[in-house]
Amino acid sequence: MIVTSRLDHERVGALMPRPLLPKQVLAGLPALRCLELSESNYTSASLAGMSGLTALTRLVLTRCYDFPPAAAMAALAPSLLASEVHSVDDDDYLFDRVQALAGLESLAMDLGFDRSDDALVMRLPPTALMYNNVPAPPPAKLLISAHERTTGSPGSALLLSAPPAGPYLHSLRCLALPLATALAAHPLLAHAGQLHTLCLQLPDMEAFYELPLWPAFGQFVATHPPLRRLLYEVASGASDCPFRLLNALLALKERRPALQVQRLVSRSSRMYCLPTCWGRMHP
Amino acid sequence: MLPRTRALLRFLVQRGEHVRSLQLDIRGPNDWPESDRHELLGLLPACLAARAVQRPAQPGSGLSCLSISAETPLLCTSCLPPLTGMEELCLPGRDSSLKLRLGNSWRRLTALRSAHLSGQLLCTDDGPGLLPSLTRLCIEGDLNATESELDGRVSWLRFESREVYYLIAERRLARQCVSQLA
Repeated sequence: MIVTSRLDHERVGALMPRPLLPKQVLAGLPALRCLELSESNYTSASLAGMSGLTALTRLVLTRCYDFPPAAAMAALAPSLLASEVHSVDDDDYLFDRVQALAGLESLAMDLGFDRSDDALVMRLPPTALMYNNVPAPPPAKLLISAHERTTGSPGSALLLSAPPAGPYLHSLRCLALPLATALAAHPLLAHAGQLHTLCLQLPDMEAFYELPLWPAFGQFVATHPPLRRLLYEVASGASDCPFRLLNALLALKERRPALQVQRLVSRSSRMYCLPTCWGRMHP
Repeated sequence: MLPRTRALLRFLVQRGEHVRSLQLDIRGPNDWPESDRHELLGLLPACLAARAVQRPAQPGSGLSCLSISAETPLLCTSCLPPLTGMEELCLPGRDSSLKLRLGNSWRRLTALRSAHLSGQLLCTDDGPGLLPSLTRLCIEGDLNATESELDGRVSWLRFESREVYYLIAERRLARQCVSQLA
């Protein structure tokens, strides 16, 4: 990823005059079941009041600059069943928070770099291919390599990073991830012993199925006992459906005939609309 | 747009008791005469006030859902608390120039279950800002305000270090930096 460590995040954050959410806003809401923070630039500390939302079952964070403190997220764990995090800039920061959410049944993470960000990545020097101040980890290099083979230039391969291991995996039943993240994370997903629905957000790049990671991912899909549904979603801004990638996905069904493979129609603007897969999972 | 808004006000004054759901999306051209804009700014609270003072046609059939688009001119939100039967309020897309003063007056909205709030949230009293009956809440911030405030700081970062984009966790800011470094 372009962005680096939490320390750096805080260094930059310290330069920004960001507003505080008045603590009274999240106080005294004993019946609140769904909370969404969208385009929020409130400080992490001022979101700590979230810990008092004892009835919360669904938390949605969309394009938020900062996350609630880990302790506040952990305090939600007894009631929280579903969480969605969309278009995050710093996935390292996100993963730290996700680990606190033990007991989740549904989790959707869209670590989205949009198309304009692809253009940005192309203009960065090669030394920008860093993750936490070290060169990109091996899976990322593999993706970069595959992308270079097909396009001759590095690009959105930088999206690749895996969520952390942790107890939160044990309760997950539905999980929505970008395909790149799912490829990187599939060894971890073996620990998600109740996962029956996996939703993949497909990228533009068709070359993903050529990666050395793909056969192992296919093996996971074919053999993970509780898995029943494989949903996929084509990015709303995509000029074309990645048919070769789609073909590779459908081939997984041949290895597991009972698997439901289903496309979810994307909404016109993913920035302001939640992925449709989530609505399908939680009608 | 102005005649249609006047017509809406007349309708709400005469027949507003039948309105259960109201979605306001009032957009005018940028080059509106100041007098027209000023009138429109007054018409919107008048429409809501007209609806608020009316008794519902049947008990429990008052205005339950109100949505005001980001483009609809709205100077303040003091016209909202009198709509005491409101169950769902959608006020998206406002930047921090709209000050949403939450306090005792908002506690009149005892039926409110779902709220989508944007703008600058301010609590004017010591107690909770919202109602305990809320089951769904969306708080929309204003990232653009931060970005504009940072415009003057990016050049300073540039002079400090060319590696600044490694330190940046906000991709729009990163984009600005790259464009300056190019």
